[in-house]
Amino acid sequence: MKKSKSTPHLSVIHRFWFIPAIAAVAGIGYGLEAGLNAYAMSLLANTGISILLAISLNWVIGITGQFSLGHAGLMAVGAYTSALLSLRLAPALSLTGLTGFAESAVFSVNLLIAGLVAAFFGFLLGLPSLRLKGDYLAIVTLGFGEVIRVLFLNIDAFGGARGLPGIPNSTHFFDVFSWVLIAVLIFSRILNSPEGRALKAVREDPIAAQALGIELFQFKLKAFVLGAFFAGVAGGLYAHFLQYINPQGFDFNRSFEIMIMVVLGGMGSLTGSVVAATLLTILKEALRPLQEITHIDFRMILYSLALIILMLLRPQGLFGSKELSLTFLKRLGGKR
Amino acid sequence: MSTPLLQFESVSIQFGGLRALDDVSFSIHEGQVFGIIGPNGAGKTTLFNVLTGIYRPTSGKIRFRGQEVPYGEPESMAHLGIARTFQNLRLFRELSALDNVLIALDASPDFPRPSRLSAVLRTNDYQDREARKLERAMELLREIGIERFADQKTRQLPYGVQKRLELARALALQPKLILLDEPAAGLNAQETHELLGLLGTLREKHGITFCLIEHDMKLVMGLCQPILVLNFGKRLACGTPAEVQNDEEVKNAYLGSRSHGK
Repeated sequence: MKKSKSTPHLSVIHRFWFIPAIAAVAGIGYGLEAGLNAYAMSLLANTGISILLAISLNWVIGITGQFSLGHAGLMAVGAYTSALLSLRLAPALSLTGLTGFAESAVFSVNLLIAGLVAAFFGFLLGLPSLRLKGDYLAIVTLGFGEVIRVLFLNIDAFGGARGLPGIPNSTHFFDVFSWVLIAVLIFSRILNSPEGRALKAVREDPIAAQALGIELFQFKLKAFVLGAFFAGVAGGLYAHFLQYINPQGFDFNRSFEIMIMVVLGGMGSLTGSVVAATLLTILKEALRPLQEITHIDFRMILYSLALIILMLLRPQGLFGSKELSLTFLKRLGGKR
Repeated sequence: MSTPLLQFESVSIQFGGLRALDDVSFSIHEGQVFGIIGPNGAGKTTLFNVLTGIYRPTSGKIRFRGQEVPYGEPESMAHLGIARTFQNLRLFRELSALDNVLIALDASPDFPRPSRLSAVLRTNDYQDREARKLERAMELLREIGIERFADQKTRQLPYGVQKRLELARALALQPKLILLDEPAAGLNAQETHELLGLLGTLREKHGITFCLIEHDMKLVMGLCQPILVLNFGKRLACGTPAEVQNDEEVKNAYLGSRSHGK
Protein backbone atom coordinates (compact mmCIF):
# COMPACT_ATOMS: atom_id res chain seq x y z
CA MET A 1 0.00 0.00 0.00
CA LYS A 2 1.41 3.37 -0.89
CA LYS A 3 0.98 6.38 1.32
CA SER A 4 0.23 9.52 -0.64
CA LYS A 5 0.91 11.78 2.30
CA SER A 6 1.26 11.12 5.95
CA THR A 7 -1.95 11.87 7.77
CA PRO A 8 -1.86 12.83 11.43
CA HIS A 9 -2.72 9.85 13.58
CA LEU A 10 -4.83 9.86 16.69
CA SER A 11 -2.96 10.73 19.83
CA VAL A 12 -1.97 7.84 22.09
CA ILE A 13 -4.49 8.98 24.69
CA HIS A 14 -7.26 9.13 22.10
CA ARG A 15 -6.44 5.63 20.92
CA PHE A 16 -5.92 3.97 24.27
CA TRP A 17 -8.19 5.96 26.59
CA PHE A 18 -9.76 2.73 27.78
CA ILE A 19 -6.63 1.55 29.60
CA PRO A 20 -6.46 4.41 32.11
CA ALA A 21 -10.27 4.35 32.17
CA ILE A 22 -10.34 0.74 33.33
CA ALA A 23 -7.69 1.50 35.91
CA ALA A 24 -9.80 4.41 37.07
CA VAL A 25 -12.84 2.14 37.34
CA ALA A 26 -10.82 -0.18 39.55
CA GLY A 27 -9.78 2.73 41.76
CA ILE A 28 -13.27 4.21 41.95
CA GLY A 29 -14.72 0.78 42.69
CA TYR A 30 -12.28 0.30 45.52
CA GLY A 31 -13.08 3.70 46.96
CA LEU A 32 -16.84 3.35 46.63
CA GLU A 33 -16.90 -0.09 48.17
CA ALA A 34 -15.30 1.37 51.25
CA GLY A 35 -17.45 4.52 51.33
CA LEU A 36 -20.93 3.61 50.08
CA ASN A 37 -23.51 1.34 51.64
CA ALA A 38 -24.55 -1.94 50.08
CA TYR A 39 -27.79 -0.49 48.72
CA ALA A 40 -26.02 2.21 46.73
CA MET A 41 -23.51 -0.30 45.41
CA SER A 42 -26.27 -2.62 44.27
CA LEU A 43 -28.01 0.26 42.53
CA LEU A 44 -24.80 1.03 40.67
CA ALA A 45 -24.31 -2.60 39.65
CA ASN A 46 -27.90 -2.75 38.47
CA THR A 47 -27.38 0.37 36.39
CA GLY A 48 -24.28 -1.05 34.76
CA ILE A 49 -26.01 -4.30 33.86
CA SER A 50 -28.92 -2.33 32.36
CA ILE A 51 -26.48 -0.27 30.31
CA LEU A 52 -24.89 -3.43 28.91
CA LEU A 53 -28.26 -4.86 27.98
CA ALA A 54 -29.58 -1.66 26.44
CA ILE A 55 -26.48 -0.88 24.43
CA SER A 56 -26.24 -4.41 23.02
CA LEU A 57 -29.92 -4.49 22.08
CA ASN A 58 -29.60 -1.08 20.47
CA TRP A 59 -26.82 -2.47 18.32
CA VAL A 60 -29.30 -4.93 16.85
CA ILE A 61 -32.45 -2.79 16.79
CA GLY A 62 -31.25 0.77 16.49
CA ILE A 63 -28.09 0.48 14.44
CA THR A 64 -28.81 -2.56 12.27
CA GLY A 65 -32.58 -2.09 12.23
CA GLN A 66 -33.45 -5.70 13.09
CA PHE A 67 -36.38 -5.80 15.47
CA SER A 68 -35.41 -8.50 17.96
CA LEU A 69 -37.41 -9.38 21.05
CA GLY A 70 -35.20 -12.26 22.16
CA HIS A 71 -32.72 -10.35 24.25
CA ALA A 72 -33.93 -11.79 27.56
CA GLY A 73 -33.45 -15.29 26.16
CA LEU A 74 -29.85 -14.55 25.22
CA MET A 75 -29.30 -12.95 28.62
CA ALA A 76 -30.71 -16.12 30.24
CA VAL A 77 -28.27 -18.29 28.29
CA GLY A 78 -25.41 -16.15 29.62
CA ALA A 79 -26.78 -16.13 33.17
CA TYR A 80 -27.25 -19.91 33.36
CA THR A 81 -23.90 -20.64 31.71
CA SER A 82 -22.12 -18.32 34.09
CA ALA A 83 -23.98 -19.60 37.15
CA LEU A 84 -23.36 -23.25 36.30
CA LEU A 85 -19.68 -22.53 35.73
CA SER A 86 -19.46 -21.04 39.21
CA LEU A 87 -21.61 -23.70 40.89
CA ARG A 88 -20.35 -26.84 39.15
CA LEU A 89 -17.03 -26.20 37.46
CA ALA A 90 -15.34 -23.79 39.88
CA PRO A 91 -15.55 -26.15 42.91
CA ALA A 92 -14.15 -28.98 40.79
CA LEU A 93 -11.19 -26.79 39.88
CA SER A 94 -11.04 -25.54 43.49
CA LEU A 95 -11.52 -21.97 42.30
CA THR A 96 -13.94 -20.97 45.06
CA GLY A 97 -13.57 -18.53 47.89
CA LEU A 98 -11.22 -16.26 45.94
CA THR A 99 -11.06 -12.57 46.66
CA GLY A 100 -9.69 -9.41 45.10
CA PHE A 101 -7.77 -9.66 41.87
CA ALA A 102 -7.89 -13.45 41.62
CA GLU A 103 -11.67 -13.41 41.97
CA SER A 104 -12.05 -10.77 39.26
CA ALA A 105 -9.73 -12.61 36.91
CA VAL A 106 -11.57 -15.91 37.27
CA PHE A 107 -14.90 -14.14 36.98
CA SER A 108 -13.79 -12.36 33.79
CA VAL A 109 -13.00 -15.70 32.19
CA ASN A 110 -16.33 -17.03 33.40
CA LEU A 111 -18.14 -14.05 31.81
CA LEU A 112 -16.18 -14.39 28.61
CA ILE A 113 -17.37 -17.99 28.30
CA ALA A 114 -20.94 -16.96 29.17
CA GLY A 115 -20.76 -14.30 26.45
CA LEU A 116 -19.39 -16.73 23.89
CA VAL A 117 -22.08 -19.31 24.63
CA ALA A 118 -24.76 -16.62 24.29
CA ALA A 119 -23.12 -15.46 21.06
CA PHE A 120 -23.29 -19.01 19.76
CA PHE A 121 -27.00 -19.16 20.60
CA GLY A 122 -27.39 -15.79 18.90
CA PHE A 123 -25.74 -17.29 15.84
CA LEU A 124 -28.09 -20.29 15.90
CA LEU A 125 -31.11 -18.01 16.29
CA GLY A 126 -29.91 -15.56 13.66
CA LEU A 127 -29.16 -18.19 11.05
CA PRO A 128 -32.78 -18.90 10.16
CA SER A 129 -34.51 -15.80 11.51
CA LEU A 130 -32.46 -12.94 10.09
CA ARG A 131 -33.76 -13.78 6.65
CA LEU A 132 -37.08 -12.48 7.93
CA LYS A 133 -38.04 -8.85 8.15
CA GLY A 134 -39.77 -6.58 10.65
CA ASP A 135 -42.74 -8.15 12.43
CA TYR A 136 -41.81 -11.67 11.40
CA LEU A 137 -38.37 -11.36 12.92
CA ALA A 138 -39.90 -9.92 16.10
CA ILE A 139 -42.24 -12.90 16.44
CA VAL A 140 -39.52 -15.50 15.86
CA THR A 141 -37.14 -13.89 18.34
CA LEU A 142 -39.92 -13.50 20.90
CA GLY A 143 -40.65 -17.20 20.46
CA PHE A 144 -36.98 -18.03 20.89
CA GLY A 145 -36.86 -16.14 24.18
CA GLU A 146 -39.84 -18.08 25.49
CA VAL A 147 -38.46 -21.43 24.31
CA ILE A 148 -35.25 -20.77 26.21
CA ARG A 149 -37.15 -19.82 29.34
CA VAL A 150 -39.39 -22.90 29.16
CA LEU A 151 -36.35 -25.12 28.60
CA PHE A 152 -34.69 -23.84 31.76
CA LEU A 153 -38.01 -24.21 33.57
CA ASN A 154 -38.34 -27.87 32.67
CA ILE A 155 -34.83 -29.23 32.83
CA ASP A 156 -33.86 -30.35 36.29
CA ALA A 157 -30.14 -29.94 35.71
CA PHE A 158 -30.84 -26.22 35.40
CA GLY A 159 -32.79 -26.11 38.63
CA GLY A 160 -36.22 -26.14 37.00
CA ALA A 161 -38.74 -23.71 38.48
CA ARG A 162 -36.75 -23.53 41.72
CA GLY A 163 -33.90 -21.87 39.84
CA LEU A 164 -30.26 -21.87 40.82
CA PRO A 165 -29.54 -20.58 44.35
CA GLY A 166 -26.23 -20.02 46.03
CA ILE A 167 -24.35 -18.34 43.22
CA PRO A 168 -21.26 -16.63 44.66
CA ASN A 169 -21.37 -12.89 45.03
CA SER A 170 -18.70 -12.05 42.49
CA THR A 171 -20.25 -9.05 40.73
CA HIS A 172 -18.48 -5.99 42.04
CA PHE A 173 -18.35 -2.44 40.77
CA PHE A 174 -15.13 -3.11 38.88
CA ASP A 175 -16.49 -6.16 37.04
CA VAL A 176 -19.64 -4.40 35.91
CA PHE A 177 -18.11 -1.17 34.77
CA SER A 178 -15.00 -2.58 33.16
CA TRP A 179 -17.36 -4.62 30.95
CA VAL A 180 -19.46 -1.54 30.31
CA LEU A 181 -16.30 0.27 29.22
CA ILE A 182 -15.27 -2.58 26.96
CA ALA A 183 -18.73 -2.69 25.41
CA VAL A 184 -18.80 1.06 24.84
CA LEU A 185 -15.33 0.92 23.32
CA ILE A 186 -16.11 -1.92 20.94
CA PHE A 187 -19.54 -0.70 19.89
CA SER A 188 -18.55 2.92 19.38
CA ARG A 189 -15.42 2.09 17.40
CA ILE A 190 -17.16 -0.42 15.17
CA LEU A 191 -19.98 2.07 14.71
CA ASN A 192 -17.53 4.57 13.23
CA SER A 193 -15.84 2.02 11.02
CA PRO A 194 -16.76 0.56 7.63
CA GLU A 195 -18.69 -2.20 9.38
CA GLY A 196 -20.79 0.27 11.36
CA ARG A 197 -21.54 2.29 8.24
CA ALA A 198 -22.56 -0.87 6.44
CA LEU A 199 -24.94 -1.75 9.29
CA LYS A 200 -26.53 1.67 9.10
CA ALA A 201 -26.87 1.22 5.34
CA VAL A 202 -28.63 -2.09 5.94
CA ARG A 203 -31.03 -0.30 8.28
CA GLU A 204 -31.68 2.64 5.97
CA ASP A 205 -32.20 0.78 2.71
CA PRO A 206 -31.38 -2.91 2.35
CA ILE A 207 -31.87 -2.95 -1.41
CA ALA A 208 -29.48 -0.07 -1.98
CA ALA A 209 -27.02 -1.61 0.46
CA GLN A 210 -27.09 -4.82 -1.53
CA ALA A 211 -26.51 -2.94 -4.76
CA LEU A 212 -23.36 -1.53 -3.14
CA GLY A 213 -22.04 -5.02 -2.49
CA ILE A 214 -22.99 -5.28 1.18
CA GLU A 215 -23.90 -8.88 2.00
CA LEU A 216 -27.07 -8.21 3.99
CA PHE A 217 -27.37 -11.50 5.79
CA GLN A 218 -23.73 -11.73 6.74
CA PHE A 219 -23.67 -8.24 8.24
CA LYS A 220 -26.94 -8.71 10.10
CA LEU A 221 -25.71 -11.98 11.55
CA LYS A 222 -22.42 -10.48 12.70
CA ALA A 223 -24.26 -7.63 14.41
CA PHE A 224 -26.67 -10.03 16.04
CA VAL A 225 -23.89 -12.25 17.38
CA LEU A 226 -22.03 -9.27 18.82
CA GLY A 227 -25.20 -8.07 20.55
CA ALA A 228 -25.83 -11.59 21.89
CA PHE A 229 -22.31 -11.75 23.32
CA PHE A 230 -22.82 -8.71 25.51
CA ALA A 231 -26.32 -9.83 26.49
CA GLY A 232 -24.70 -13.04 27.74
CA VAL A 233 -22.06 -11.13 29.69
CA ALA A 234 -24.79 -9.00 31.24
CA GLY A 235 -26.65 -12.20 32.16
CA GLY A 236 -23.57 -13.56 33.93
CA LEU A 237 -23.09 -10.33 35.85
CA TYR A 238 -26.77 -10.38 36.77
CA ALA A 239 -26.59 -13.96 38.07
CA HIS A 240 -23.60 -13.20 40.30
CA PHE A 241 -25.20 -9.98 41.44
CA LEU A 242 -28.55 -11.45 42.57
CA GLN A 243 -26.85 -14.72 43.59
CA TYR A 244 -30.03 -16.48 42.57
CA ILE A 245 -31.62 -16.93 39.15
CA ASN A 246 -34.82 -18.55 38.03
CA PRO A 247 -36.55 -18.69 34.64
CA GLN A 248 -39.15 -16.06 35.60
CA GLY A 249 -36.39 -13.46 35.65
CA PHE A 250 -35.96 -13.83 31.90
CA ASP A 251 -39.51 -13.71 30.56
CA PHE A 252 -40.53 -11.36 27.77
CA ASN A 253 -41.17 -8.55 30.25
CA ARG A 254 -37.42 -8.37 30.60
CA SER A 255 -37.02 -8.03 26.82
CA PHE A 256 -39.58 -5.23 26.81
CA GLU A 257 -37.86 -3.48 29.70
CA ILE A 258 -34.62 -3.41 27.72
CA MET A 259 -36.52 -2.35 24.62
CA ILE A 260 -38.02 0.59 26.53
CA MET A 261 -34.53 1.78 27.44
CA VAL A 262 -33.45 1.60 23.82
CA VAL A 263 -36.50 3.46 22.51
CA LEU A 264 -36.34 6.06 25.26
CA GLY A 265 -32.65 6.76 24.70
CA GLY A 266 -33.11 6.97 20.96
CA MET A 267 -32.84 4.12 18.48
CA GLY A 268 -29.42 4.14 16.97
CA SER A 269 -27.81 6.27 19.68
CA LEU A 270 -25.41 4.37 21.91
CA THR A 271 -25.13 7.43 24.14
CA GLY A 272 -28.90 7.47 24.44
CA SER A 273 -28.97 3.84 25.57
CA VAL A 274 -26.42 4.51 28.29
CA VAL A 275 -28.29 7.56 29.54
CA ALA A 276 -31.74 5.97 29.36
CA ALA A 277 -30.61 2.77 31.09
CA THR A 278 -29.12 4.86 33.89
CA LEU A 279 -32.13 7.15 34.24
CA LEU A 280 -34.71 4.38 34.24
CA THR A 281 -32.85 2.21 36.72
CA ILE A 282 -32.45 5.13 39.09
CA LEU A 283 -36.00 6.41 38.53
CA LYS A 284 -37.46 3.06 39.54
CA GLU A 285 -35.51 3.17 42.79
CA ALA A 286 -36.08 6.85 43.41
CA LEU A 287 -39.83 6.26 43.41
CA ARG A 288 -39.57 3.62 46.10
CA PRO A 289 -39.83 5.97 49.13
CA LEU A 290 -43.11 7.27 47.73
CA GLN A 291 -44.54 3.81 48.14
CA GLU A 292 -43.35 3.60 51.69
CA ILE A 293 -44.90 6.94 52.61
CA THR A 294 -48.28 6.45 50.94
CA HIS A 295 -48.51 2.66 51.33
CA ILE A 296 -49.87 2.55 47.78
CA ASP A 297 -47.86 1.14 44.89
CA PHE A 298 -47.58 4.36 42.91
CA ARG A 299 -44.21 3.35 41.67
CA MET A 300 -45.12 1.55 38.47
CA ILE A 301 -47.90 4.02 37.70
CA LEU A 302 -45.51 6.97 37.89
CA TYR A 303 -42.86 5.05 36.01
CA SER A 304 -45.29 4.35 33.19
CA LEU A 305 -46.53 7.94 33.22
CA ALA A 306 -42.97 9.20 32.94
CA LEU A 307 -42.48 6.97 29.90
CA ILE A 308 -45.68 8.20 28.23
CA ILE A 309 -44.80 11.84 28.82
CA LEU A 310 -41.29 11.39 27.50
CA MET A 311 -42.54 9.64 24.39
CA LEU A 312 -45.05 12.42 23.76
CA LEU A 313 -42.42 15.12 24.18
CA ARG A 314 -39.58 13.36 22.40
CA PRO A 315 -40.86 10.55 20.18
CA GLN A 316 -37.41 10.09 18.64
CA GLY A 317 -35.99 9.35 22.09
CA LEU A 318 -33.75 11.47 24.28
CA PHE A 319 -30.87 11.51 21.83
CA GLY A 320 -32.52 10.66 18.52
CA SER A 321 -29.70 9.06 16.59
CA LYS A 322 -27.07 11.51 17.81
CA GLU A 323 -23.99 10.52 19.72
CA LEU A 324 -22.13 12.40 22.37
CA SER A 325 -18.46 12.20 21.46
CA LEU A 326 -15.33 14.27 21.73
CA THR A 327 -15.60 15.49 18.15
CA PHE A 328 -19.26 16.36 18.70
CA LEU A 329 -18.38 18.39 21.79
CA LYS A 330 -15.58 20.11 19.89
CA ARG A 331 -17.97 21.00 17.10
CA LEU A 332 -20.42 22.44 19.62
CA GLY A 333 -17.63 24.55 21.05
CA GLY A 334 -15.85 25.34 17.81
CA LYS A 335 -18.50 26.52 15.38
CA ARG A 336 -20.63 29.49 16.41
CA MET B 1 -14.54 -6.26 -32.34
CA SER B 2 -13.21 -7.07 -28.87
CA THR B 3 -15.25 -8.98 -26.30
CA PRO B 4 -18.29 -6.95 -25.35
CA LEU B 5 -18.45 -5.65 -21.80
CA LEU B 6 -21.91 -7.07 -21.35
CA GLN B 7 -23.72 -9.66 -23.40
CA PHE B 8 -27.31 -10.82 -23.29
CA GLU B 9 -27.68 -14.18 -25.05
CA SER B 10 -31.32 -14.90 -25.84
CA VAL B 11 -32.47 -14.11 -22.32
CA SER B 12 -36.07 -14.94 -21.44
CA ILE B 13 -37.92 -14.60 -18.19
CA GLN B 14 -41.32 -16.01 -17.45
CA PHE B 15 -43.65 -14.89 -14.65
CA GLY B 16 -46.50 -17.41 -14.62
CA GLY B 17 -48.24 -16.88 -17.94
CA LEU B 18 -46.40 -13.66 -18.73
CA ARG B 19 -43.27 -13.70 -20.78
CA ALA B 20 -41.73 -10.47 -19.51
CA LEU B 21 -38.58 -10.88 -21.58
CA ASP B 22 -38.68 -12.94 -24.73
CA ASP B 23 -35.44 -14.11 -26.30
CA VAL B 24 -33.62 -10.79 -25.92
CA SER B 25 -30.06 -10.55 -27.18
CA PHE B 26 -27.77 -7.56 -27.35
CA SER B 27 -24.32 -6.52 -26.29
CA ILE B 28 -22.84 -3.43 -24.74
CA HIS B 29 -19.30 -2.44 -25.63
CA GLU B 30 -16.88 -0.52 -23.51
CA GLY B 31 -17.31 3.24 -23.66
CA GLN B 32 -20.84 3.17 -24.99
CA VAL B 33 -23.83 4.94 -23.57
CA PHE B 34 -26.38 2.28 -24.19
CA GLY B 35 -30.02 3.34 -24.13
CA ILE B 36 -33.02 1.12 -23.52
CA ILE B 37 -36.43 2.48 -24.44
CA GLY B 38 -39.89 1.10 -24.92
CA PRO B 39 -43.50 1.82 -24.04
CA ASN B 40 -44.82 1.09 -20.55
CA GLY B 41 -44.77 -2.61 -19.76
CA ALA B 42 -42.23 -3.32 -22.46
CA GLY B 43 -39.94 -5.14 -20.06
CA LYS B 44 -37.38 -2.41 -19.45
CA THR B 45 -37.46 -2.66 -15.70
CA THR B 46 -37.51 -6.45 -15.81
CA LEU B 47 -34.41 -6.31 -17.95
CA PHE B 48 -32.80 -4.03 -15.41
CA ASN B 49 -33.72 -6.33 -12.56
CA VAL B 50 -32.17 -9.28 -14.34
CA LEU B 51 -29.08 -7.24 -14.98
CA THR B 52 -28.76 -6.18 -11.33
CA GLY B 53 -29.16 -9.70 -10.02
CA ILE B 54 -32.66 -9.34 -8.59
CA TYR B 55 -34.34 -11.75 -11.02
CA ARG B 56 -32.99 -15.00 -12.38
CA PRO B 57 -33.63 -15.48 -16.10
CA THR B 58 -35.74 -18.50 -17.07
CA SER B 59 -33.42 -19.21 -19.96
CA GLY B 60 -30.48 -17.60 -21.69
CA LYS B 61 -27.18 -16.30 -20.43
CA ILE B 62 -25.73 -12.99 -19.37
CA ARG B 63 -22.01 -12.50 -19.67
CA PHE B 64 -20.05 -9.67 -18.12
CA ARG B 65 -16.53 -9.31 -19.50
CA GLY B 66 -16.87 -12.75 -21.02
CA GLN B 67 -17.94 -14.53 -17.85
CA GLU B 68 -21.41 -15.65 -16.95
CA VAL B 69 -22.76 -13.64 -14.05
CA PRO B 70 -24.18 -15.21 -10.87
CA TYR B 71 -27.95 -14.78 -10.73
CA GLY B 72 -30.03 -13.78 -7.74
CA GLU B 73 -27.11 -12.17 -5.91
CA PRO B 74 -27.24 -8.38 -6.17
CA GLU B 75 -24.16 -8.13 -3.93
CA SER B 76 -22.06 -10.07 -6.40
CA MET B 77 -22.98 -7.73 -9.24
CA ALA B 78 -21.46 -4.84 -7.32
CA HIS B 79 -18.28 -6.84 -6.73
CA LEU B 80 -18.09 -7.68 -10.44
CA GLY B 81 -18.11 -4.00 -11.32
CA ILE B 82 -21.74 -3.19 -12.08
CA ALA B 83 -23.17 -0.27 -10.14
CA ARG B 84 -26.63 1.18 -10.44
CA THR B 85 -28.88 4.06 -9.55
CA PHE B 86 -32.56 3.71 -8.77
CA GLN B 87 -35.66 5.13 -10.37
CA ASN B 88 -37.07 6.41 -7.09
CA LEU B 89 -33.79 7.30 -5.37
CA ARG B 90 -32.57 4.89 -2.77
CA LEU B 91 -30.16 6.91 -0.70
CA PHE B 92 -29.43 6.30 2.97
CA ARG B 93 -31.68 9.14 3.99
CA GLU B 94 -30.76 9.55 7.64
CA LEU B 95 -27.05 9.58 6.89
CA SER B 96 -24.93 12.43 5.56
CA ALA B 97 -24.08 12.76 1.88
CA LEU B 98 -20.48 11.97 2.79
CA ASP B 99 -21.49 8.76 4.57
CA ASN B 100 -23.45 7.66 1.53
CA VAL B 101 -20.32 7.87 -0.59
CA LEU B 102 -18.13 6.35 2.13
CA ILE B 103 -20.37 3.30 2.37
CA ALA B 104 -19.83 2.67 -1.33
CA LEU B 105 -16.08 3.26 -1.02
CA ASP B 106 -15.99 0.71 1.82
CA ALA B 107 -17.15 -1.85 -0.71
CA SER B 108 -14.90 -0.74 -3.58
CA PRO B 109 -11.95 -2.90 -4.62
CA ASP B 110 -9.46 -0.16 -3.62
CA PHE B 111 -10.38 -0.41 0.04
CA PRO B 112 -10.59 -3.96 1.38
CA ARG B 113 -12.70 -4.20 4.52
CA PRO B 114 -10.57 -3.84 7.65
CA SER B 115 -10.76 -6.45 10.39
CA ARG B 116 -12.90 -5.73 13.42
CA LEU B 117 -9.81 -5.80 15.59
CA SER B 118 -7.99 -3.12 13.60
CA ALA B 119 -11.15 -1.00 13.73
CA VAL B 120 -11.44 -1.37 17.50
CA LEU B 121 -7.75 -0.73 18.12
CA ARG B 122 -7.60 2.05 15.52
CA THR B 123 -4.25 0.88 14.18
CA ASN B 124 -2.15 3.36 12.20
CA ASP B 125 -2.74 1.35 9.06
CA TYR B 126 -6.48 1.53 9.63
CA GLN B 127 -6.34 5.27 10.24
CA ASP B 128 -4.31 5.86 7.08
CA ARG B 129 -6.77 3.90 5.02
CA GLU B 130 -9.76 5.71 6.47
CA ALA B 131 -8.09 9.06 5.87
CA ARG B 132 -7.46 8.18 2.23
CA LYS B 133 -11.04 7.05 1.93
CA LEU B 134 -12.29 10.33 3.29
CA GLU B 135 -10.12 12.22 0.84
CA ARG B 136 -11.42 10.17 -2.07
CA ALA B 137 -15.01 10.69 -0.96
CA MET B 138 -14.56 14.44 -0.89
CA GLU B 139 -12.95 14.32 -4.33
CA LEU B 140 -15.92 12.45 -5.70
CA LEU B 141 -18.39 14.89 -4.19
CA ARG B 142 -16.35 17.75 -5.64
CA GLU B 143 -16.34 16.14 -9.05
CA ILE B 144 -20.10 15.77 -9.02
CA GLY B 145 -20.38 19.33 -7.75
CA ILE B 146 -22.07 18.70 -4.40
CA GLU B 147 -19.11 19.07 -2.09
CA ARG B 148 -20.76 21.73 0.02
CA PHE B 149 -23.57 19.34 1.00
CA ALA B 150 -21.15 16.72 2.38
CA ASP B 151 -22.18 16.97 6.03
CA GLN B 152 -25.91 17.41 5.51
CA LYS B 153 -28.43 14.69 6.08
CA THR B 154 -29.40 13.27 2.73
CA ARG B 155 -33.13 13.65 3.19
CA GLN B 156 -32.72 17.40 3.59
CA LEU B 157 -31.02 17.82 0.22
CA PRO B 158 -32.78 19.17 -2.89
CA TYR B 159 -33.94 16.51 -5.32
CA GLY B 160 -31.41 17.38 -8.00
CA VAL B 161 -28.57 17.09 -5.50
CA GLN B 162 -29.86 13.73 -4.34
CA LYS B 163 -29.86 12.49 -7.92
CA ARG B 164 -26.25 13.55 -8.28
CA LEU B 165 -25.35 12.00 -4.98
CA GLU B 166 -26.70 8.67 -6.12
CA LEU B 167 -24.45 8.93 -9.14
CA ALA B 168 -21.47 9.77 -6.94
CA ARG B 169 -22.26 6.76 -4.79
CA ALA B 170 -22.34 4.50 -7.84
CA LEU B 171 -19.05 5.98 -9.06
CA ALA B 172 -17.42 5.31 -5.70
CA LEU B 173 -17.71 1.58 -6.34
CA GLN B 174 -15.32 2.08 -9.26
CA PRO B 175 -17.55 0.14 -11.60
CA LYS B 176 -16.97 -0.72 -15.24
CA LEU B 177 -20.63 -0.28 -15.98
CA ILE B 178 -23.20 1.98 -14.40
CA LEU B 179 -26.88 1.26 -14.89
CA LEU B 180 -29.07 4.32 -14.72
CA ASP B 181 -32.77 3.77 -14.10
CA GLU B 182 -34.51 6.86 -15.50
CA PRO B 183 -31.79 9.33 -14.56
CA ALA B 184 -33.78 12.34 -15.78
CA ALA B 185 -37.05 11.49 -14.05
CA GLY B 186 -38.24 14.44 -12.01
CA LEU B 187 -35.59 16.81 -13.30
CA ASN B 188 -36.40 20.03 -15.15
CA ALA B 189 -34.95 20.91 -18.54
CA GLN B 190 -32.03 22.78 -17.04
CA GLU B 191 -31.13 19.96 -14.64
CA THR B 192 -31.46 17.38 -17.39
CA HIS B 193 -29.08 19.40 -19.51
CA GLU B 194 -26.57 19.53 -16.66
CA LEU B 195 -26.90 15.81 -16.12
CA LEU B 196 -26.10 15.20 -19.79
CA GLY B 197 -22.94 17.22 -19.45
CA LEU B 198 -21.98 15.39 -16.30
CA LEU B 199 -22.45 11.95 -17.83
CA GLY B 200 -20.31 12.96 -20.79
CA THR B 201 -17.52 14.16 -18.54
CA LEU B 202 -17.62 11.03 -16.43
CA ARG B 203 -17.49 8.80 -19.47
CA GLU B 204 -14.43 10.56 -20.81
CA LYS B 205 -12.61 10.87 -17.53
CA HIS B 206 -13.27 7.48 -15.94
CA GLY B 207 -13.87 5.41 -19.03
CA ILE B 208 -17.13 4.18 -17.58
CA THR B 209 -19.76 2.57 -19.74
CA PHE B 210 -23.35 3.56 -19.11
CA CYS B 211 -26.58 1.75 -19.72
CA LEU B 212 -29.76 3.69 -19.14
CA ILE B 213 -33.50 3.34 -19.25
CA GLU B 214 -35.20 6.58 -19.96
CA HIS B 215 -38.55 8.01 -21.00
CA ASP B 216 -37.11 11.38 -21.99
CA MET B 217 -36.74 10.82 -25.74
CA LYS B 218 -34.73 13.97 -26.29
CA LEU B 219 -32.18 12.79 -23.74
CA VAL B 220 -31.99 9.29 -25.14
CA MET B 221 -31.67 10.39 -28.76
CA GLY B 222 -29.08 13.00 -27.89
CA LEU B 223 -26.95 10.86 -25.60
CA CYS B 224 -27.27 7.19 -26.37
CA GLN B 225 -25.77 5.07 -29.02
CA PRO B 226 -26.82 2.41 -29.66
CA ILE B 227 -30.43 2.28 -28.53
CA LEU B 228 -32.38 -0.88 -27.82
CA VAL B 229 -36.14 -0.74 -28.27
CA LEU B 230 -38.27 -3.25 -26.38
CA ASN B 231 -41.97 -3.98 -26.71
CA PHE B 232 -43.95 -6.73 -24.97
CA GLY B 233 -40.68 -8.25 -23.82
CA LYS B 234 -39.31 -8.56 -27.35
CA ARG B 235 -36.44 -6.78 -29.00
CA LEU B 236 -37.92 -4.55 -31.69
CA ALA B 237 -34.82 -2.80 -32.87
CA CYS B 238 -31.30 -1.95 -31.88
CA GLY B 239 -29.17 0.65 -33.57
CA THR B 240 -28.24 4.30 -33.87
CA PRO B 241 -30.84 6.93 -32.98
CA ALA B 242 -31.52 7.56 -36.64
CA GLU B 243 -32.00 3.89 -37.41
CA VAL B 244 -34.30 3.39 -34.49
CA GLN B 245 -36.39 6.46 -35.29
CA ASN B 246 -36.96 5.30 -38.83
CA ASP B 247 -37.80 1.72 -37.93
CA GLU B 248 -41.35 0.84 -38.95
CA GLU B 249 -41.98 -1.51 -36.03
CA VAL B 250 -40.77 1.08 -33.56
CA LYS B 251 -43.09 3.67 -35.01
CA ASN B 252 -45.97 1.24 -34.74
CA ALA B 253 -45.17 0.41 -31.14
CA TYR B 254 -45.09 4.04 -30.09
CA LEU B 255 -47.78 5.49 -32.30
CA GLY B 256 -49.99 2.43 -32.67
CA SER B 257 -51.03 0.81 -35.92
CA ARG B 258 -53.99 -0.98 -37.37
CA SER B 259 -52.18 -4.28 -37.22
CA HIS B 260 -51.87 -3.98 -33.43
CA GLY B 261 -52.02 -7.31 -31.68
CA LYS B 262 -51.34 -9.34 -34.79
